[in-house]
Amino acid sequence: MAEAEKLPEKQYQKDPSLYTKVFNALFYSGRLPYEEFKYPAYLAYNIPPPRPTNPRIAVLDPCLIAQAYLDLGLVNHAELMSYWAKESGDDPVCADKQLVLIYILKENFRAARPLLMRLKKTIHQRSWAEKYLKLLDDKSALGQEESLSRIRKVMIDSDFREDEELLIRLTNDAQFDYEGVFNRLLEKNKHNKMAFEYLMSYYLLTGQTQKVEENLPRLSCFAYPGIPHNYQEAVLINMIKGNAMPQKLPEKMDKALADKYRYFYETYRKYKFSDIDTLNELKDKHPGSYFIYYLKLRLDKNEKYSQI
Amino acid sequence: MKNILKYNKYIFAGMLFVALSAFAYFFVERNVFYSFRYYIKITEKPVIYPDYADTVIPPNIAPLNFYINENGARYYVKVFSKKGKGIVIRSRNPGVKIPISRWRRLLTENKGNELYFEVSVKKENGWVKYSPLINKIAKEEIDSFLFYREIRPQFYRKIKMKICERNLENYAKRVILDSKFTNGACFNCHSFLHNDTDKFIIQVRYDRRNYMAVNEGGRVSLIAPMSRKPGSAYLSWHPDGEKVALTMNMSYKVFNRFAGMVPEEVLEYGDLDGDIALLNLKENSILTVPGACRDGRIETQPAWSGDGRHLYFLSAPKVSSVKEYKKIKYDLMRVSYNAESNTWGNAETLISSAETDMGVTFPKVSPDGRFLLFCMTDRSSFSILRAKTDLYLMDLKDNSYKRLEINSENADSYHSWSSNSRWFVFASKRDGGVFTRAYFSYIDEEGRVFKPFVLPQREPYFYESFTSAYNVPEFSRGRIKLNRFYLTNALLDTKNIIDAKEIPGSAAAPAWDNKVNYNY
Repeated sequence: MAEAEKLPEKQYQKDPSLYTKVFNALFYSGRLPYEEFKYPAYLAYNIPPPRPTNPRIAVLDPCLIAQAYLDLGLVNHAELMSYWAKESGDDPVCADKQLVLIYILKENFRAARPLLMRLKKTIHQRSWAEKYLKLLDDKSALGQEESLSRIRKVMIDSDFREDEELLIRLTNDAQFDYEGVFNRLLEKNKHNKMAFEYLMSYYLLTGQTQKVEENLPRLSCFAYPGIPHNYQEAVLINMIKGNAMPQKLPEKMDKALADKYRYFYETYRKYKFSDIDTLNELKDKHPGSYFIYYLKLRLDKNEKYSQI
Repeated sequence: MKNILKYNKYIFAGMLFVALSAFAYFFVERNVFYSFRYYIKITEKPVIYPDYADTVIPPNIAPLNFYINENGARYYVKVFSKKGKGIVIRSRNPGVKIPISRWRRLLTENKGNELYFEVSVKKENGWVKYSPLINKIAKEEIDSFLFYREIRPQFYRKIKMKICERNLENYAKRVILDSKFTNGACFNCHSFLHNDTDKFIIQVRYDRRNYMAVNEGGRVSLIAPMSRKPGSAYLSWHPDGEKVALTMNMSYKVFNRFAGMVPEEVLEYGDLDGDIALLNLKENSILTVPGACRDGRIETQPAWSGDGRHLYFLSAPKVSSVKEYKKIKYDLMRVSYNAESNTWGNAETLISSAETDMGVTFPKVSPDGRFLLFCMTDRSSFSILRAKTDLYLMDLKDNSYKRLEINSENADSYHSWSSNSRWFVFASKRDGGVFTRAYFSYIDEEGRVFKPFVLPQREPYFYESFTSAYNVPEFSRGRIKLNRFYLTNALLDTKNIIDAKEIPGSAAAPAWDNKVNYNY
């Protein structure tokens, strides 16, 4: 991650899979709500597009995407992505492993077995495969298996099938409803941390800071030590947007961060609320701040070449 | 030399010792470890995989190798029938490999008789002899070759596939086409005239073209049925070998289900359009079939009767958008045809989806013209993905039809007839619901269909670790005589594509609609 931080943004544009890899690494290390904007961010690659045929996805590692969808609880989509990984790569082992978990989750043990037998033939995956083959023979132990029960807790067990229009809309990249999907996952399990952080990240990446604030009550379902840094920034930005930066902030706010935003606000006011001048003034001094990303996003939108 | 002679006796003694030891080992192994002086005979049948029991097998099929799913230290299997010497296999391994030459002899001598697999397993307390598994050897042979596509169980756009030729009399397998060497081309709908490889067609999608590679006696020509149209597929040879019925003006959309625990498939597919046309290979002309290219209807999957006097096809009202894909349920229809005068009769409905509330797919008439095998499912779009797809048989004597008892709870779909009409192969997901396998069933003259058996493999554990799917299985009596590299090159040489002439009076051809997503 230290190396990724040092990489120039151009490098990310050259190899967009870096966006996804960094985003994933941040999530799995529990740093996503704190450090996301220390690294270049781009919605289209941070949160991968839903259709394998999307040209953007060609540069991404389908196994990585499948794993993310699996961890989110979107089992069917993970299945499709795993097969996509098998089609586009040379039968990667990661895809077989994901499919094993998927079929076990779907309680299709007969379909999981050939994949496990195949994995058993490889040197590196033999012990992993043997472990799951034993579990298949002792179904009672399957319920306790950690990685499976983690997904079982979050996966949705009803489809969008009752709403075919939504189903088709979901598979259309242009109209892909990230918000709807993540909210649906949270409805199923309010403790789905991945869905929550992806949802909040989606709001941050699209500049919907108000929605970040509206969703803060959901924090109580997770064991964060206070309000995560990025979400605090969104609240502070809302204050700046409302042209109201009070001297006294809510108690849970980080004092140093509030001081920093007071300084941002003063700078913003100094430049008569000009996004471009404020950005030029602050971007080198505070490179990892969400405020910088937010100003860039506003400028992009104003110039009508939004990348989102 | 002297030294060698000096030690000669020792060398001889050593060799004798080795020979005696080997003899003693085999003697003990056979007569002590596999001694059946004491055994327990039980009425239970052993569990073997694949399930080769209570089925009817062709006399020319390769040995049905299997493994015994019973714990034991040693295994003893006797394969025997009414005549001839049985085959005995002794093993410490539950995998049973039957020697091919003795198997062939046994089956040839016993056509019409029963074939027994007598399995004994040595457990802790001694040998247990199970009740024998019984299969019947049919009198009629099966076509010797099977052609199929080997693909991933779920596929999207970037398809990795092979067309393979498998000898059913042994285990020889040959790859005819491999997408690795075809630059991303998609090939499907391989269709043989009279189950023979002298004349066959492979449908190709490559370089934004949709065309057919026609092999006639080793010469491959490329024909695009319609130069402007997005798709054509589903071929059926007229028995005269000069005409091919096909679906043209096809359009469809594939999309994926997004959410979690759907017990069925993750892909959905919606047909949007299709008409039936007749391609005359001799004149290189194409003519839409009256009664099978009506406005407001999707017409697809033509199939000729054995005598070429009827063309069977599917028809459903068009839907206004792909969102209504569930409404597509095909009727089974047929139209009569007079090849001499090149005239068509009126189309008639054989099965109405309005009455059954189910959709028909893949009608295939047996070469003797007696039966029509087809699939029915809750909706017709891409029935091979639907778990509810089942096989049905229509007796063309009186057009009565029945659901076959051999169907499973998973998809039992794409099928093909052997040239003698006594066997059919079908693609089934019965074993686990994901990996499609090729199954064979015997059908007698009265239309009774017997329990199917899976394509035999040399390795008894083959299906335990095979994770590809058998797709579009088609019988053939011979092997493809073309060189694989020649065929690959000929297939991709798009500059040689000839556009078929559209005969005036043919139904109006819709222009390419850019708004429609022509996946595949």
